Amino acid sequence: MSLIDRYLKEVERHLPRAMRGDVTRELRSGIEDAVDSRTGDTTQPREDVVAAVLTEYGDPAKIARSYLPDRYLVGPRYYDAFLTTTKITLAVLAVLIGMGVVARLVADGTTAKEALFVLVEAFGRFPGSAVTFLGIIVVVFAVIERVAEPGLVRDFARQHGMRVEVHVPQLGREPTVPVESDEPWSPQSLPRVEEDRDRINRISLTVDACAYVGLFVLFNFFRDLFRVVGQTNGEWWSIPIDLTGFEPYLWWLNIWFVVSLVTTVMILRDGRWFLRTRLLKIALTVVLIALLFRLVRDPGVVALPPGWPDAFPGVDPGLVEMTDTVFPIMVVLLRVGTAVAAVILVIDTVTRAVRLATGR
Amino acid sequence: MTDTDKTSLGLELRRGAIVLGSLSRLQEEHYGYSLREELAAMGLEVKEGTLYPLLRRLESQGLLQSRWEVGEGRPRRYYRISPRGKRVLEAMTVEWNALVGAMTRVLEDRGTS
Repeated sequence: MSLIDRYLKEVERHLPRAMRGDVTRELRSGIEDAVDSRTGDTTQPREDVVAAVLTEYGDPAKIARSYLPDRYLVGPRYYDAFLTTTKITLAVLAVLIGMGVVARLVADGTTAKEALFVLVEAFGRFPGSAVTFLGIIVVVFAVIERVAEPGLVRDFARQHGMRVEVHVPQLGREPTVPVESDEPWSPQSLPRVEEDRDRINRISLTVDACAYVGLFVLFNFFRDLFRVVGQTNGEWWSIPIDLTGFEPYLWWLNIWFVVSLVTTVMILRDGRWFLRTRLLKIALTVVLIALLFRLVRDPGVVALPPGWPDAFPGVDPGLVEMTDTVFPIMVVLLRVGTAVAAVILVIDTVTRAVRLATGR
Repeated sequence: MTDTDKTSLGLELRRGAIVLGSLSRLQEEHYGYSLREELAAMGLEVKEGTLYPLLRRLESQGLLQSRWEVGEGRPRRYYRISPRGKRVLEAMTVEWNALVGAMTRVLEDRGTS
């Protein structure tokens, strides 16, 4: 096999089967023309001239590549959408794993050793999960890159407020992506500039701070204010609610109130939102969500006082009957209300995490 | 600036010129090697590894037409500009002339303002 044959074989190896015959036939013709032209002018052996010509042609793999369009797993056309999807997914994943960690930490009977294990496991789990999701996203976008009509994805992206780069190939270069027609553009289509999102609302934050202090004091020092209150035969009555089942959560809530208060004071002092305070705020909400879900799942957080009704001699039998009917309904309403609040917080936190990740 | 930068910028600068030069010379039929020789004789050196893929791309963009023919004992692919290629060549020639004029003024003016 001659040197030219070997060279062309190597070029072929890097080309799609359909292109091979045509490309190597033309290359062979060009190489032989060049060799013939030079052997007429020199006394060098033909093999040396062939070697010199092939050296000028260069690396066969490089020659083969120059016949092929640029190949991307995710090309410039969809890179922006790919990046946005990745950031959103990772932000949501971080929030969900965070909530899972807190839910496990506040579980009954969690020892310090177990808590440490949960934290280490979560830190270990995030990269693995992130890589898995990233792989799925890459595969989805790689498929879109290869099969989707350009207009289809572009229109979808624009409907959902995503920016789409229009890649116009250079003349003489293989169109790496189909050319999208230049649409008429008007400055009116520019997105509205949002007001300064880093500006804080001092009134709202001050109300928050007061609420943290108020709730801390209420839960720790005025628990006897939690009562079932009613009126029978024109007389008001109240029965203290037993909050013994709530106490394991109170430690967590107290820590949460203190850290939230410190964070709010930090934000008020800074006068602006910064990345650290936004992250801290999201982390605190994640902790609160996990606590709320734990409270919803626990049926024994609130109860009627021990020994009810025998321990309350002289209580009107009608009142006993009413309390026994109303109290379970109140507990259900309390749990539903807590669950709704937790779900609203989840939506709010995911939205904030996504906005933080995507910078939107 | 590194040598790689210089090579890369130089290639960028030459790319359009090689396209325009090829389209222009292919108003007459040529095969790859003969086109390369003709461009080289006029001072526009193009490597084979650049020219052959370029010709195929221009053909796939509808600017060139080609046919195989046996000449001097070996099969050769002959290229010629297509009707669409002629329209593009005219437009590019106007653009090129305007660019040369503008760049001449820009480069001559350096350091004086």
